[in-house]
Amino acid sequence: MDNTLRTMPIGSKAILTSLEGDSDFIRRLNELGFLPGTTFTLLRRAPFGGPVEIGFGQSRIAFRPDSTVRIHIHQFT
Amino acid sequence: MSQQDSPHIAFVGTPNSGKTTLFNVMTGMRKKVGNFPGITIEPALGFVDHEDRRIAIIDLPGTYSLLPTSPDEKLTISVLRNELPSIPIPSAIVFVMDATNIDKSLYLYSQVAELGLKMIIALTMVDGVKARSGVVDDIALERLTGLTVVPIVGHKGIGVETLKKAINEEHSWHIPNTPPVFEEIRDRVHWVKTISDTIIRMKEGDKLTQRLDSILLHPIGGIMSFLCIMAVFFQSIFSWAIPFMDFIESGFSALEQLVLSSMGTGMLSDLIARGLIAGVGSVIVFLPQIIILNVFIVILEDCGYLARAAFLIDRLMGAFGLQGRSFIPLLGSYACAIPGIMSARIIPSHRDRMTTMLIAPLMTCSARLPVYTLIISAFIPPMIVGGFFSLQAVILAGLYALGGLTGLFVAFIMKKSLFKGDIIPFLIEFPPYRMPSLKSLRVSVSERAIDFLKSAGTVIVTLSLILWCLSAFPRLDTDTLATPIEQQQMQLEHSYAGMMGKTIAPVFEPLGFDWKLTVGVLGSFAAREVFVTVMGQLYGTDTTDSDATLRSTLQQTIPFASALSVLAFYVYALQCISTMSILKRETGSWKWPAFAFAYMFALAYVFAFLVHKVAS
Repeated sequence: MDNTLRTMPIGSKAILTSLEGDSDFIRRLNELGFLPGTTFTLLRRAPFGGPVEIGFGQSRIAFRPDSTVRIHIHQFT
Repeated sequence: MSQQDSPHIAFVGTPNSGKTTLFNVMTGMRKKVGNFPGITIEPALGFVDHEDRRIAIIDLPGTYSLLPTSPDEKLTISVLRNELPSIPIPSAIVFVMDATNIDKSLYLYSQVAELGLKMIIALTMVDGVKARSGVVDDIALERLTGLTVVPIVGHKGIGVETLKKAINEEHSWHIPNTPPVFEEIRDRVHWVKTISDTIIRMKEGDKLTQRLDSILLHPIGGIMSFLCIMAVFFQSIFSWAIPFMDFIESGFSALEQLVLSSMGTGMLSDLIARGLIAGVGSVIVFLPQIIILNVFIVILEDCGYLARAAFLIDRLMGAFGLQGRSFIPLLGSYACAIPGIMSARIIPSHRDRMTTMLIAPLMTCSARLPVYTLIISAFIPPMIVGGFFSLQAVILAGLYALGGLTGLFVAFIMKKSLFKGDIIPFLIEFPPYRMPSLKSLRVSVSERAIDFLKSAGTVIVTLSLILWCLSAFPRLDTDTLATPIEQQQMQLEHSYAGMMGKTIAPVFEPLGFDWKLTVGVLGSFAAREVFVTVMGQLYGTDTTDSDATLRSTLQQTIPFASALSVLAFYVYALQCISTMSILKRETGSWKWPAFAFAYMFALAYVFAFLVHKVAS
């Protein structure tokens, strides 16, 4: 997993650069509009290292960033 | 389906689009469970009456795209692609489009439109857009799609009549304008964006949802509110349901007494009273819990909280190889494994779904409660420990926790062995919070209650009758000097059930069970709580009079170690034919219920053996 989703501050924005891993999962993320190039906000993290919630456009999705997916992002500074 | 020739309509939409609410509001209580052979997941079937026509409607499970990731989604796609012989291709589709989440809806729409079926668009949550100072251009949507668009405010029923009319007038059904050919997901997403910008403009986010989530998903506040909601949930199942259950129980035992006293002590009256009425009663008694549980789950689901709960609990479930969505079926299984197992359909990953279903019967269902209550009240002294906890309550809570924890542990092992492999990672969308529709709630809850009565009821009543026959034959010439209770006791001892108990007793002997306890355990295969009735008959007390007599009899005749061993056995053993038949239906083969039975029996046997050893 890419640590940046774990470490970036809550409420900060980033751009998704690439997704790797389970093809069904990535396809579903893409279908929900989460594609490379999407600017998103990290809305919150569930307690004890649980899932993360991100927002982009009118969507809000939560997923578990675990070892089966690699999410590369470019964080705005 | 029965109505092969007449047109039928399918409801299609994304999850959380308000599709099922709209379906429930439109079809009301005139719903019947569809009979679609060869399909494990059955879509709901309902009818819409308009003027003098009646049209069949099926509610297909929500999906985000025509490339499925769960069995639910797969069904929808197979129907739309006409791949299922038992469900003919719909004459038209009512595409339920959520105005507040228009991008997701349009994405699915763009795929469904390619199929070339006739469609109508039901545009839901129009009020939600207005509440966010937005505008909906439904005329533009009509122009772009070439379809009839009916705006709906589901929970208020606005637009429902217009939709009924459109469904009944074939000239309102149109083949949609063909969307462009898309090479990649990206192109489709882009196209969706340009369309959605034309038809919906929302100035602000959903303030209420943001405010509620800042509490309900807060790292500390979220956990606290989750625990509070769970506490109310358990309180409602166990405390609020009790008066209703007592009422039903006393009603049925009064009925039994009435039959016995008015029809005399013949075989027929005994069959009606102790076989039929007692059997039906043992099913109906769970109805209050099933109803309360489902009211709770449906409200939490419809208002949008269940997705948040899954988010909060995902980490904990993940530690055992499960995911946040497994939480919902497991929670439901605390009332009854049957609705719990059925709700596992929401889990996209096949492996996670199987694991969840196979451990669901380990959750302490309400049928174990009468057994626990009887044994605990007979053998555990009502003393206070730790200041103000009653020891009986502590033991009871311990048994509940033991079932759940073992379940999670078994899940962990299954995910490491049987269901090893790639996990589809947890992914969930947060719908905005919404006011649940009362009409839809009523329809959903009664539908689930009827489903329970049908699937559990038929099995339990049949088995109660078989059990009655086993305990009533062969007849023993009754000694007229004996009291009726003694006669009953002797009859049972000489019956097939008694003989079976004595034959099988050596198997259970290491657990400290005598032949009477063995008969109780065997009888429990119809339903666990039958144990109490069988004990009453074997120990010659009338359970309908008062449980106190039975308790003191048990206390005097059963060794303490055996009593604890019985408790241990009931924590684990899968003694429920109804659960097994649901497992068969949901997994498509008898292999899995047989497996669940075997591993749970092994657990029960070993654990009861150890408890008996340690206690004696």
